[in-house]
Amino acid sequence: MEENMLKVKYNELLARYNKGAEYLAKNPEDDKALEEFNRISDELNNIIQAIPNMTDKEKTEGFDLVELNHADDTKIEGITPVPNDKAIEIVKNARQVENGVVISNGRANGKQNALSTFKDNWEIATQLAQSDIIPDNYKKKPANVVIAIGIANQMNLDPFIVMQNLSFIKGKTSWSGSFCRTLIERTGKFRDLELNYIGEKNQDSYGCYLSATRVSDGKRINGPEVTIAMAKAEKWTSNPKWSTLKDLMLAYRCQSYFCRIHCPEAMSGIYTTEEIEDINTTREQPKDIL
Amino acid sequence: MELNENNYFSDEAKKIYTGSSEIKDFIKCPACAMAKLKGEWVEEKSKAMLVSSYIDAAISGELDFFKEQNPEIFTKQGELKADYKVAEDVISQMKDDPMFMKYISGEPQVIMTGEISGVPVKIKIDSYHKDKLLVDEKAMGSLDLLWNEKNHQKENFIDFYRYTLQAALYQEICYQNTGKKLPFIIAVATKEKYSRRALLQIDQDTMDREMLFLQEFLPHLQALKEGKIEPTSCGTCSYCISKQKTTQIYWYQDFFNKED
Repeated sequence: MEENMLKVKYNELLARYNKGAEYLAKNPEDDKALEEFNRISDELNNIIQAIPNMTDKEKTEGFDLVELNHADDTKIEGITPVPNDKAIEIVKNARQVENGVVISNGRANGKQNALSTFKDNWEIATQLAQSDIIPDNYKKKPANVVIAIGIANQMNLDPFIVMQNLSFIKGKTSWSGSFCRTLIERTGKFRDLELNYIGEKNQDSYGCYLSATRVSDGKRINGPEVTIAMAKAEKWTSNPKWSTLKDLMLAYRCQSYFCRIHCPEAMSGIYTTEEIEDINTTREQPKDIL
Repeated sequence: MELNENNYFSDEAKKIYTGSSEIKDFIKCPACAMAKLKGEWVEEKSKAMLVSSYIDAAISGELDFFKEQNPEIFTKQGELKADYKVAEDVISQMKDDPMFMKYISGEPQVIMTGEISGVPVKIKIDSYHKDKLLVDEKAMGSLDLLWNEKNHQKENFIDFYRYTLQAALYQEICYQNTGKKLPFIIAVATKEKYSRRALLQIDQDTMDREMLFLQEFLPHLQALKEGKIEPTSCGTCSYCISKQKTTQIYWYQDFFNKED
């Protein structure tokens, strides 16, 4: 399988992995789900090993990061794509870790990162969920908070920042459109991000694209153009924000497209709020069948 | 066994076939569902259920029979009790709504049987529009969102009572019988003096997802029915509470902080 295909598969499995984690948070005793979750984890492990040129950062994104010290005090970062409580068990017994993946069992002096364990995350989430200053979607909802903490850990972000920018709309998690640019910058792959408006204002040709300099080779990269004509054709304009906040909607859309093409790992397979709203508004009304 | 109007809810039919209410019972509390099947537990007929049945009977032209079977709906003076007078209002407003009436006026109470994952199942369609549509009628107290304690959120009545499961089941069994995969609509009317009505279609994605669940769950349900698996108790339903025995002492804070 070529690298791009592997990455597509990787993203798909990662989304299923995160969904599984979310489900297991609510249904920790569902053995069948746990079994399926472990199967996905194994598949993910294999894919990671198969993707050449994948950076260590990319390898750890989306998974539970477990830090442990070997007996010789060498710090090793081991990713264990399994639920955290199970991960602790594996890591405690881990003897050898290679390329960030536990490869054999044995006894080691394991010391897991406090935020790395699902159980710990859950306890923290239960406390955070009591706070009055977190967004409504998270208040008294530790299951939501634990997801935010998991994502925050993966992306090395403050859980509060994630909660401020990660919403739940109609059962789907989504990044706020404005946060997308931050996510691109945080990958470290691009600098000098710039929005470029094209066409004539108030015409269908009006639109914009995001350009950025690729850090690895200094090349200027242009993302896809998004225009009002495209918004009309895709029926996004039935969302009223396309009338009142045209420039903003164009900007958010071209940022998310840029991200999805050039650094998909940054969004962890999650759509932006605006994209989800557009999808919802474009659903056709049921027809009168009789 | 061939099912008909007279034997659809019979004990014999229940032993062979599984229906949508039974599936929901088993999801909610396997122990209670088994007790119901064995005839050891009978759900009390609530007034709300009777009012719904009254409306259903009126729509399907079986009101006289219903009144005969349920004398408790009358006062000693022989007049309809107040709740059923509201039901009369609901029915008359419904009859004054042509589009709603068109949808609930298909072939009534059509029975079909089939199999999912090798488990025999039965369905009874409230209003069947051949080759076009399946309609199920619901009489709800209101259309207000309902608090789901388990999910910590308010839900609409369709998700709350998981009528999506019924939709998937009906569509699949109808498909097995006719070769047509038909859309599914819930025709809901509220039991309020000024009754709200709506025709609510369940989308195919939701039904497909529920179908996957049914394919997984029905063999498990069948194993429970056949006594191959011990049913678990939910601990919170009327049946479980009626069976509860005190087994330990709790710290009061722990007891009241329990999630479920």
